[in-house]
Amino acid sequence: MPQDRRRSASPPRSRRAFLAQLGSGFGSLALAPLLAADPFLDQNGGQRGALAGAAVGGDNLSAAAVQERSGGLHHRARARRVVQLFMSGAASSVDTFDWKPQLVARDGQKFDPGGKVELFQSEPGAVMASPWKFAPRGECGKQVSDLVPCLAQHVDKIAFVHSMVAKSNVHGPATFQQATGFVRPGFPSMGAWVSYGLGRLTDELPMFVVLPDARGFAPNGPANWGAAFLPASHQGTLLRPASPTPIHDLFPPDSARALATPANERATLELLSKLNREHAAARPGDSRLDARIESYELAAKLQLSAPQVLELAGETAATRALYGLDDPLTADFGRNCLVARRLLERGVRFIQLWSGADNGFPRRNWDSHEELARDHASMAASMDRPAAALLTDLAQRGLLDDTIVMWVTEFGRMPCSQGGKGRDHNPFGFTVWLAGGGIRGGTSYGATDEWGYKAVDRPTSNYDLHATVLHLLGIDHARLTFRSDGIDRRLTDVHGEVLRELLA
Amino acid sequence: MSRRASVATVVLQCSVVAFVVPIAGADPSIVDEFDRLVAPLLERRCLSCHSTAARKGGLSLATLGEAQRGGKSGVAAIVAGAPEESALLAAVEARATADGARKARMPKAGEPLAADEVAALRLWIADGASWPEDRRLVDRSAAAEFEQRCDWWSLKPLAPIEPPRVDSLPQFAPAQLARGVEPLRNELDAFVRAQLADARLALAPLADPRTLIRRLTWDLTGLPPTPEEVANFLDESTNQDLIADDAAASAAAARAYERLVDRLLASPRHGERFARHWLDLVHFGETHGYDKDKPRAQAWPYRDWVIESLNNDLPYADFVARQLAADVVAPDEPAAVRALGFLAAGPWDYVGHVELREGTLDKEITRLLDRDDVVTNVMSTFASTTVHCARCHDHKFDAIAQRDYYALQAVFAGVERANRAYDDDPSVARRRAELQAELVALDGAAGHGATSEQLAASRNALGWHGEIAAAADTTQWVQLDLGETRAIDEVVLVPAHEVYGGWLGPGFGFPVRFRVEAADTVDFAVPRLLLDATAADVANPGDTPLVVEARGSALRFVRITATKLWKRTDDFAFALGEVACFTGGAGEQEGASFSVGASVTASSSIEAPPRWAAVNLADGSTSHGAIGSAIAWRERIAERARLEALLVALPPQRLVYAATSRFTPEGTFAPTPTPRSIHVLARGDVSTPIDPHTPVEPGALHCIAAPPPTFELDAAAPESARRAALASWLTDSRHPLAWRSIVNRAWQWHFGRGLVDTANDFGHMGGLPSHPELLDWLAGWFVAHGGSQKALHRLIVTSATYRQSSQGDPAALAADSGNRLLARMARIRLDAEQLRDGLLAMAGRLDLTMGGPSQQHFAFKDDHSPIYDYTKFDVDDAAARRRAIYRFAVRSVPDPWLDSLDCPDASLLTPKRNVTITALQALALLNDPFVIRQCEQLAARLVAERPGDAAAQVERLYELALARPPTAGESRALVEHAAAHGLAAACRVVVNLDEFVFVD
Repeated sequence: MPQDRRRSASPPRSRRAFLAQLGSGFGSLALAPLLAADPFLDQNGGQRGALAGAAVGGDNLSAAAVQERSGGLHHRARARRVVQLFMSGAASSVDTFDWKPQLVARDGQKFDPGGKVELFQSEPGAVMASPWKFAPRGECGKQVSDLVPCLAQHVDKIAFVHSMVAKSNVHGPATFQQATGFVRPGFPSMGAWVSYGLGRLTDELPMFVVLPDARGFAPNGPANWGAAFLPASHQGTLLRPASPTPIHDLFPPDSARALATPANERATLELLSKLNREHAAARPGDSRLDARIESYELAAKLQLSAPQVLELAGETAATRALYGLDDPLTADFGRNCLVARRLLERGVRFIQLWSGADNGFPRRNWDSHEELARDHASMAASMDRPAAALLTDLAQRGLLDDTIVMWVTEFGRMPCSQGGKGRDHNPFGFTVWLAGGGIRGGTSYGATDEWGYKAVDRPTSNYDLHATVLHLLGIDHARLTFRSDGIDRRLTDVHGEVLRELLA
Repeated sequence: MSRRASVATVVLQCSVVAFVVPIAGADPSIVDEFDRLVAPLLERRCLSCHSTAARKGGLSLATLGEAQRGGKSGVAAIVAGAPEESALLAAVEARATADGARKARMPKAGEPLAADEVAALRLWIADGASWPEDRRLVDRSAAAEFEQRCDWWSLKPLAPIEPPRVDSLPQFAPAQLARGVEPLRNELDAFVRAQLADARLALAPLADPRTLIRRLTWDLTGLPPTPEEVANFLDESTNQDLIADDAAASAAAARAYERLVDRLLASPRHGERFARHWLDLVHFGETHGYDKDKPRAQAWPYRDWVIESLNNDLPYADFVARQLAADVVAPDEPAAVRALGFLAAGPWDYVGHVELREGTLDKEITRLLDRDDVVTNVMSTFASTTVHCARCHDHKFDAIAQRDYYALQAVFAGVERANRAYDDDPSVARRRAELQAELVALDGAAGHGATSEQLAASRNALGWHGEIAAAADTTQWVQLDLGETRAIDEVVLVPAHEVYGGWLGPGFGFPVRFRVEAADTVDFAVPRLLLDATAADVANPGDTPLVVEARGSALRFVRITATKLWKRTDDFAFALGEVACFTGGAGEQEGASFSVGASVTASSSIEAPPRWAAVNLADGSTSHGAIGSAIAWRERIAERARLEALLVALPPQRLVYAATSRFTPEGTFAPTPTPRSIHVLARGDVSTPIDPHTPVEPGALHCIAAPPPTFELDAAAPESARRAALASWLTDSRHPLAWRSIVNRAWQWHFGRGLVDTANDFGHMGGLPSHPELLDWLAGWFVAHGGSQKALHRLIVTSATYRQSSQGDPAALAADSGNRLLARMARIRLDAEQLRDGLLAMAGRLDLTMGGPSQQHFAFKDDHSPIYDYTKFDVDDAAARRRAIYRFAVRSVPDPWLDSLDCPDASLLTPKRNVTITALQALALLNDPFVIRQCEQLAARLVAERPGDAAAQVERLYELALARPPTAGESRALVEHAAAHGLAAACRVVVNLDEFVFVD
């Protein structure tokens, strides 16, 4: 059975301990919230229980072997956590990290790269030089533009992939592709896969947390962080640090303050627990009942820990300044980056952090069709300092050693104008980058042509990018599967090569 | 280098996908080399002709001995260690032929062997041609493999099956009761008990009446039983006064139970409950999904059709056929086209369909994936088949060729998803169809043989459009230069008819006040006023042309000056479709408009060809065909106006978002006049059709013997005939997949798990039936009972298997922890909608109004990407009180409360919901404003119904939520809790109990 392939590795110790505690053959029925994360357990209340039980019971890998993999599922992990910085709307590579002197030399001339140029909403205009100057940075001498001066200081930590291609030149499908690996809705987010594959590092916070742009959701909305066919426990938990209710239903509404007194909450949970235990005791053999009892204990922990994460008062003035919390331009994204660091410190596996909302007007994302110089400038200014601060801060706390920071976007922008001062969509070649655990800094992989138009050297897909990150997390992307509608689905579909040149 | 490694290395260097072989791992082994590389190649490509049985040319390659003997020629096919002497290599290697071309003699069919395959054979022979002695090869050619894959339980014809013999069926013997053995109620139990007996297990005892009514009511209606219903049922089940002995008591209880089943199946709530299961299955949502997740305001009629059909017990074959082709199979029932909402239920890429430009690869990809969604939905839902796995290649595991997949795409190549108009009243529908046919005939006649593409192009060349103005009283003009001075009798202004964007429809941009003038000079120094409509507002003429008399004026320039512009939303515009000039007396009006080709100048012009351009104003074409001759054109316009007036006078049509071949175009999204050509695509890539000149004919699957997969459609048949043919195939009483699929679903809906636990996949990668004979018997029974779903539900829920307790016997728990054998009833967690509806029902707040537009539980703000904000919804709003089946299901932004309780993503086919238990669920049930509000309402209800008596209030609370009174301890604890924290707090505890959210 293909499900067995998913179980080809040893379960983590905590789960083994849990199963031992339950004893007998019913371990596989367990669905404690801690373990709802667990890739080895059946998601349906043990309805495939016998099989799962056999697979788990038959596993005789030693605890030492598990330890040896550093928490990896299939092999030794180089990283344990991921932050995905998602530039929504399509950030231009030729204005940031993909230096093309040709655009300056041919500025204003006809754009003629050979072959038919098929744009999303326009006919190609003239070649358009970047409004920003490029200069060599860091020890590696990487050319980076003045649009992102703070990130430019980190090039020696970063591995750039310049030859990304996307399957669609439409925001919705391409955003899905970057987020879930598929251009269609109905597939689990990368964070959900990681959560499913690796489980929890903490029981006080969700495994996968999403920090949307303060101005709204990106194209596709929460479908970008859904669990789709994976168990719901793996979906991204929406966290809005600036909202009075940062996590949905974390506390009763203000209108029900009477119910929310500490005395009442304590009494409610105690009575609930007592009655539920009596009920469960009369129904032996159904560990879902115990799991539900435990879920209330976990909910109480989350109620304590979530406000602590969001309490930034304890951060030093220097830290607050580092993330740009003192500047209205950077405060929103900066707060999200700082909260991201605090979440990582407390054991959250995967954080999806959005720069840019939907495609409305005036522009509130990277989709600079009208006036690149104006719109990219404001987006970059809000993102650059906080993102760089996150790298600095993670590094100085030693967290960057086992945290991967991914900077991604759904596609790039054309080297020509689209008639005026904007750039149209370019799915044929664009740049993303990785930094952190297991990544070789100061490297550049692949290349676009002289225009920054098409990937010519080692064209790379999101499958390769995802395979590489999973690899660093100790997961073989081809073996992390889940059966849905007759197909063993993977984050990487039937593709994906680990980009070994990026690995330290 | 070991032998195995040597072969593998060559192969890897050549790097052909079929031959990528992992080298790492175990010790090199000759068997491995043969097994991994040589045997599969021979079996795939050679054995279909050269097996022991087939022996073409006398040669068999089934064993080494046979291969060494060779064929009729007597030359050994394989000579170990000597590739050059081996006839096999000579046959498969490319050699110069008589005509000078280099080609291989073998294999006769299909592509020649790849270079690396030949190299592998050569190396293997050179290495000694090791072949395990007992190894006999078999035919594994594509054809043989196909046959082999067809030999599968779900593809076998349905055959009559006798239930296992049981002494007491369908009666039950008092003697058994005395021994504590649960009697059998119907044939299902015979099958279940037989398999239990094999495992030395038995059914659990009958559940108690309170458990039964709670289980059955939640199951069949999605709502909790009221305390009164519970009390009545208890009375009827256990009224000992009337009953003399145990057997009679048991019989009375059984009758009470059956009455309960009948009552619940007859309740309109039943259709609402089972429609939820169905809508999960078909991924019904009310927004498009993707970016720009626009609402589908007209999706709900499909949902209502499902509810009505289930409540009316529409036979399953009709239920299926209408969802594929209601327009064909139920022509006299026009409202049945709501069923076609099934084909449109899934997500739809708005930007791809509406905004992407025609002729781009992305456009074709959009359409391919869109049809894929439809085909997947159809075949997963009705045939439990993963046909979508064959989009890029033949199915990896099942007998589904890629060609079959594209034949299914071809079935839907003539429809799109859009609002489809329908009439409730059949007589109105007939009249409308007649009038529309006349209109089509009229426009067709006007086309003068123009192709549909030309007509479409003419519709898309909208006309001339002046620049957008901020104020209405802006003056704009447009004029024609006829090139020479002509006698003009009539100037005709044809309004523009917008087919794109936010202001669709006739009369676009037609000025509110204007004048028409003519002149001999371009500067209009001496204008002749033909029409002055500047003094008062003119009503918008819609599609009706305005005829301006010119009375033979001999002039060269015609100018239309707008003095008050047409209002868009917040700004103003002036646009016209065509300006035509006619001349001649009464007898001479045969002539064509002589303004065609006139040069057009204007105060300004938005040049956005093909739709808007100054030249469009005098191109001789209008939204209703070419202008042609004056008389014919005017007659046509008059006839058009007459027919349209008759159409307008009919009762308005309703709309359903459904599959349709006729709809209002938007942007680049327009109906296709004939079904699009479908081709088999190599690797599913639209740029690599395998046979670009031969479209795939619509058809079905070849993996079942009957019904036949070919449709034999006439080439001229309308697209609807394709859908009807597929409907007929899927509803054939012989169909092995369709009938097994639905009875398995019914079983799953009641037991939480199907007899096959992969309800959408009956293929080789799916689960095997736990009770194969029961499944087949049920399928046969269902066909024989006319496909009555209510009869099927009744059969299942009246079985002893369903009625047994969910408390497991320790022996059964140990032997069958997964309860595959059904030695106890499944304990089922309420789903998100049950919880929501149940809370409202207990609080006395449930509004049982049925049908109609969906209830929005969010604040909606339309935008480039619309915003759905659930936090801004007032839980006391009347919209919150309807059953959850009537809520507006947004795809991209799920309702966070329902979402946390495993309500599925509406972009996903969900044959079975996940059941997870998480901390966020606990928070949702403890803290959500909706839950809190229902607790408060419930508390108010308890006070009103049991005033002043805390214990009675708690008792009522338990009866409402759990269908039982509290124990003394429970009562005491909750009375205390209520005293300390309020009755609503006590309600909050109870709705969070395991006992509330699980049904025993």
